[in-house]
Amino acid sequence: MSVVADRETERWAGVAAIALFALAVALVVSRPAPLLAGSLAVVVAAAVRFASPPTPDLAVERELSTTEPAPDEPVSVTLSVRNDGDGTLPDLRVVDGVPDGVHVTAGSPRLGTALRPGATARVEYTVRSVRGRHEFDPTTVLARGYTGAHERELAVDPDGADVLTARPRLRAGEPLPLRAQTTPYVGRLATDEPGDGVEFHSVREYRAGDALSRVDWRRVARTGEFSTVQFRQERAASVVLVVDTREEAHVAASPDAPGGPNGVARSVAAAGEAFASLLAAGDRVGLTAFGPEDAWLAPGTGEAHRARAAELLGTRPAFSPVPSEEPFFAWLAVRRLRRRLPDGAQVVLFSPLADDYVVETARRVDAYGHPVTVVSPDPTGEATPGQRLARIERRFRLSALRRAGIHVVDWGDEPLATAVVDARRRWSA
Amino acid sequence: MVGVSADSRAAAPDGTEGSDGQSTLAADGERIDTAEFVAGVPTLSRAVTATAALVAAAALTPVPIAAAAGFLGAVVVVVAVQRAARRLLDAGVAALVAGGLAAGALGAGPEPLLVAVGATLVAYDAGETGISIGEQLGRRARSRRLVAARAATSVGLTAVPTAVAYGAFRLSTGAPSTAAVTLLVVGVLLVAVALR
Repeated sequence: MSVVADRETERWAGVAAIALFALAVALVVSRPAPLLAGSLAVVVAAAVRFASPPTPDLAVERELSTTEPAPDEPVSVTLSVRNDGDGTLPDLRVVDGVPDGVHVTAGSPRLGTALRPGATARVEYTVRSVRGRHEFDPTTVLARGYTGAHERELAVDPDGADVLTARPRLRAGEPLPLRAQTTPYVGRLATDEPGDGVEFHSVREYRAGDALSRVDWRRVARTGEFSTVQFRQERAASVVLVVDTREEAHVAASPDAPGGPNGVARSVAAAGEAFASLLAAGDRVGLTAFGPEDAWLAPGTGEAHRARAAELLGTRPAFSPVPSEEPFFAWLAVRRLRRRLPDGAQVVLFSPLADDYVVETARRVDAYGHPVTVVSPDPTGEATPGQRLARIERRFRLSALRRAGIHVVDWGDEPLATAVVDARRRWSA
Repeated sequence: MVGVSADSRAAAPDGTEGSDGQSTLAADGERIDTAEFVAGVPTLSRAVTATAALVAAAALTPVPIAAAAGFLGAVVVVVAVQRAARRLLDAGVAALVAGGLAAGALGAGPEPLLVAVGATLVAYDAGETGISIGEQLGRRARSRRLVAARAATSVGLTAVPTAVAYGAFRLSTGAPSTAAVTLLVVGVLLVAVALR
């Protein structure tokens, strides 16, 4: 419990002037009644003069119904404030430190009350837990005395739980179509290389060492020549998902819809879905953030890898839905990304494409030999001329990427799977 | 970025910020009313202020001009609390005080005058508290206890010196009486010590 500030509210400023004025009126008209009225003002002025800031002694405790909710699960918060001091606190205003990125859905985290010694007041409210790790701020308490002339602001660290961690479940969705660059491992991407596989590729002359099961025996029977059937090889890709978490990516269509997801939140959601579906398809998947806070998960496979990704997306500040305060050095981030990308890895970039720099970055990474696919949640609206301009600017960025041969999934209000299917249709057409 | 900038921090200070993660993948059209803070004076504060202001104005009815000023002041006070406007509240209270002093100057007795000024003090206290609650806690927060305790305190703090002053006045009618002056001084001192 620490005193943040002592303020004079000055709410009784001028009461002494009223007293003197009443006295003057009484003298001028030679009547006692205004003097009486003035005496009340004198008493108030004296009370204010002698008042001092209150010194509350409080025990504050916060209870959460759960500290590890599923995303979207409502969490009820109970904050109890007990007066441990000897005196009555006539004017106590309590504001709980709800973390940024958590919405209050029912009730209010604020309370105005008066507490006798030993009495307890409770604030109950419900928050909707969103993805991420959220730490409650200290509770702010404003105490005023009987006259209200002084206000003392306190920051109290409540006992009990103060961290809310909501980990996302990674659900596989529509598999993201990938570019044609693969690893030596068997997977789902049909390549143009002849070899083992399912889909017919070509026929060539038999060479010593070819598997007997690959020999076209009907042809042998017909002509006596040996030939070998080849199939398209199916290979796994190594994919690194890059989420644009720069401040520029924290954009949404409307500032007055705080419940609506912003560009980063949607990007992270899409990355989670893509991670799960790529992993399910047998690809090696990695994860990183392109922004001020660092996060890196090297490409890998398996259930543990999936859990690590969920932890990373859910709790790392790098993927927080609130912009970071850290400075961001773009060239450093690009260099770091390039250094980390394994040879032959593809990149899937998740970004609302709200500025030109990210477009340039995508093209650069593509040119370094890491084929890039961009999944872009559309943050633009069309209510104002400015929003329409931003929408057109973003369209230009999309076409610049497409002209450079980069695949783009433009994700509007529809589910991600729909956007992916639409994009795939366009690419194969 | 002209049109699409909605930096989450802009809405952050009272925890209303937000953006959703995993769950709104499919249904991001969902918008919930998350504004936990809505500025506004609590209803109870408005009621207490209006009552006290009307009592103050009603006490001035023996003197028509003072009553006119008083009722004007009461209306201004009610509007001020409705709109959470401090300046307007000050103006309304000034009109009520002016009405009270006018009544005193024009020959009203001490009783209505003390009631009027005491009620004006209570109205100001309740109104200013209501406005500050509206700014700090908003309309959604529970604040009944605070408003009730504040109203009780200010009624008490006004009633005691009023009684003392009235007693002194009754004792001192006619010749200036040392007993009355002493009583007055002792009353002020008692209140000052009690509040220390």
